[in-house]
Amino acid sequence: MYPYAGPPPGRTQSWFRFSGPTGAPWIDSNSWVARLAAAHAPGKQIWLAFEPPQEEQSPNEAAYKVAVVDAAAVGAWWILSLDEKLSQALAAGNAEAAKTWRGILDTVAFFETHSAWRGYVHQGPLAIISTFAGDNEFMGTELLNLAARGNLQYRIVDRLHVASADLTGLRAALWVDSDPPAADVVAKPAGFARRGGLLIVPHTVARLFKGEGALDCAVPGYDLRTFGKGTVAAATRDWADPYFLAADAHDLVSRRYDPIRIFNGPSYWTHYSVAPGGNDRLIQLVSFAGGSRFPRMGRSNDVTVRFPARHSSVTLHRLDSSPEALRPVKDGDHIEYQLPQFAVYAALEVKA
Amino acid sequence: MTAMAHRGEIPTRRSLLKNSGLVMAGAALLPRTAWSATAPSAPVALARCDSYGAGVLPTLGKMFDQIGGIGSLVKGKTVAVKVNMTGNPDIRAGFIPIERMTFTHPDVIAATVHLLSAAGASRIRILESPQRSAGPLEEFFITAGWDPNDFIRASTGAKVEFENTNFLGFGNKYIRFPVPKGGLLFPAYDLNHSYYDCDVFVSLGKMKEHRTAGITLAIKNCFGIIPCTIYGDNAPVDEPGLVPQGGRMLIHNGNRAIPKSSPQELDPKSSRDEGYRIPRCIADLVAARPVHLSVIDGIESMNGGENSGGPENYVKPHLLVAGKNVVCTDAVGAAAMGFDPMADRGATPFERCDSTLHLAERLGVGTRDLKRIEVVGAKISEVAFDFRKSRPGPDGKPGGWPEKLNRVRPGRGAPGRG
Repeated sequence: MYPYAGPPPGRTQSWFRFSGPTGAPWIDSNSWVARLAAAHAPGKQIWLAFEPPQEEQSPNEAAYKVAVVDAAAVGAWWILSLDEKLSQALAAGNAEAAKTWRGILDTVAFFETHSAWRGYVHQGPLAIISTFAGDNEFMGTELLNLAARGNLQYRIVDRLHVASADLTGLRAALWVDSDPPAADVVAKPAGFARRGGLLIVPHTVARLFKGEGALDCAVPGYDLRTFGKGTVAAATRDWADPYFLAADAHDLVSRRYDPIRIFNGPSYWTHYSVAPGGNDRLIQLVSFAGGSRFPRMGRSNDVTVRFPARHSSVTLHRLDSSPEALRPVKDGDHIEYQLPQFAVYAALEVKA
Repeated sequence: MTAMAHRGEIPTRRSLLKNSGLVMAGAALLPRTAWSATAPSAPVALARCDSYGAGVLPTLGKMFDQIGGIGSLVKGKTVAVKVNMTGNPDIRAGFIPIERMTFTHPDVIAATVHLLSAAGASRIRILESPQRSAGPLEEFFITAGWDPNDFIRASTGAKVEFENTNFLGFGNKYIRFPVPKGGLLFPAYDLNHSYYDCDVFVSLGKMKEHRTAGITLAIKNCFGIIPCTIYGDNAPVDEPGLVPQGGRMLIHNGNRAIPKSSPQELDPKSSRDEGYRIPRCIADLVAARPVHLSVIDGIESMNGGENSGGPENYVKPHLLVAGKNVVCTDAVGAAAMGFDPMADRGATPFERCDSTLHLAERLGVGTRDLKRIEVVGAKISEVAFDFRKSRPGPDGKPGGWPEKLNRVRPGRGAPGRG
C-alpha cells in the first residue's frame, strides 16, 4: 500500500468552471498524483487519501463517483471518506443519503469487475523526466497536471530511475529539471535522441546535448538541432510557466502523434492505456462537468473519439448501463466513434 | 524571442493599394448615398455546390474563370490565404464537425490552394490567428482533426507554408498598416509580417451569421488578422505580449487601451458598444490590408451566430461565392443569405450593429449596391438560402423562425467573439 495525500478531486457543477469560447475549462484531478506515486513506487498499490470538502453544500453523488473513478482510472484506490452531513444522514437512515452511498459502492464494484484494467499501462508519445521534488516539484508536477489536461498523453519517468527507464515506443522525452543530470545519466536521454527521438531540454541543460545542424523550429523559444538520427529542442529562455511548457511540449512533439483525439472533451480527463503485452487498448473519460457542459445548447456529452490504431471492435462501458458495442462513423478518411450520453465515466475497450 | 512594435513602419516595398481597387480620394466628402455609386465594383461569381468533396475543385475553378481568371493576379507571386477558424478546433455542435458549421472547410482550402498553385503562384502561405495559442498553425489544424499535409499535397508546385499570425510568429517585428483616410476606429494596425510579406492577399471566409457583426463573410474573416498579443485580452500595457492570451474583447468592448507601442484608438470617448466598434475595426482592416481575392465557403454552415447553439443550427446553403472585390463579394454573399446588402443598423441582419459592408464601402473599398455588381454564374434568386427562415423557432425545430423576430429593436449586442 502506498498512501498518498492529495486535494479532493472532482469539480462537479458548482466547482466546475466552463470559461467560454476563448478560455479553457479548469479541472482538478488527482489522477496524475496517483500516476506519480506509482512512478515513485513501482509495483505498489496506490491509495489516495483525501477528505471531501466540508462546505455548506455537501458533495453530490456525482462528485463522490468522480472521486472514485478519478483514482480507479489510473489503477489507484480512494480511501472512501464521507463528508459529515452525508455520514450523519446515512446514520439517520436518510433515503437520499442511502442512494448516494449505493452509488459510491456500485462505482467501486464496477472497477472491481474490471480489475484487469488496473494492469493496463498508460501510454503516450512523451516521457516526462524529473525528480518531481524539491526545486523541481512545482514545475514537474504542474506539468503532469496541465499536460494531461491538454490531452498530451505521457509516461512518467522518475529521474532517480532514468538509467533503467524504458523509453521504447516514445517519440519524445522532456527533461524538466533545470539542474543538469549527472554524467552517468546523460547517456540515457542522449541515446534516446541519437536513436531518433526528440529530446526537449531547458536552456540550463542544453550544453550537455549540443546538437549538430540547426533546423527550423515552428515553436517559438526553442533552438532545434539534429542529434544523431533524432533532434534536440533546447529552450532559449527560462521555463517559468508550466502551462506554456505543456503547450510547447505538445507543439514540439506534435498532436499528429496523439494516440486519441477527442471532440467536445474539454471537461473530461482522458486516459489511454494498453493491455500488458497485448494490443488491446483502453480509453477512459472522466467527466468533471457533473452535467451539461453547454447549458446554452441544452445538451451534454456529445463526445466523439477518434484514434488511428487498427482495431476490430470497440465496446463502451458506463457505470450505469450494460456494455454496448459502438458502431464506427466515417468522417472523410477517418473512423470515429460517437458516444451516447454518460454522466461521470465512460470507457472504450478497443480490441485489436 | 523579442516582440517589439516598430513605430512608423509603413509598407513601402510593395504598394498595398495596387490591384486593390481602392478609391479613397474625396470619398469621405461624398454624401452617404453617393458612396455606393462611386466605390469600385468587380464581378462576383456565385455557384451552387451540393457538397464538400470532389465537386468543390471544378466548381471553384469555374468561378475563378468567371471572374476573369487568377493567373495575372498570382503568377510568380507569394499569396497569403487567411482562412476562418474561429474558436476551439475540437469543439463541435453535437457530433457535427466544426468545419461543417464554423470553420472554412479544408476541402475549400485545398481547392483554393490547388487553383492558386495551378495558376502559377510561387508560394502560398496559409494564415490564421488561432485563439490563445502561439503554437504552429499546423497543430491547430490537427486538433480540428485535419491533416495539414493535405494542403501541401493540394499544391501543384507552389511552396505551401503555414503561420500562426496571432503573435509575432516567424517575423522579427510587427508591420504597421495605416488605414486610408485616417481610419474609423484606429488610425493604423500592427500586424504579423505575413500580411506584408505577400504580393496577393486572399480572404477565404465562411458564410455564417455572427452575433456581433450580423454576418461573417470575407470581410469579417479579416478581423482575425489582428494579433491578440496587441489587440487581445491580457495584452501588456507598454508593448506587445510574447504570446496571445484570450480573445479580442479588448476590441469588442474597448475597456482598456492597447499597448502603448501601437497606434491608439482615434477617439477613446467613442461608443464602447461592440456593435459600433467591431464593424469599424473590420472595415479599417480591409481598407488597410486590401483583399485581392475573396472566396466564401457557404456549402454548409450555421445560422444564429457563432457559438450560438447546437446541431439544430446546422444548415446547408450549398453556396460558394468568389470575387476580386471584397465588398462586392460580401454584398452578393449577403444577398445569397437572404439579406439586403444595403441594409443599415437596425435592419436585418444588422439589428445590433453597424453594417460592415456600409463602412467598408464608405472607406472606398467597394460597392455593396447589387445594381452596380455583375453577378456571374448562378442567379442570386435561384440559389439564395434564407438564413433567418432556417433558424430554429421557439420550439427548437429548424426552419421555425418567425419573421416578426427579425424586427428586434437595435441595441447592444450579446457578448460575441471574433
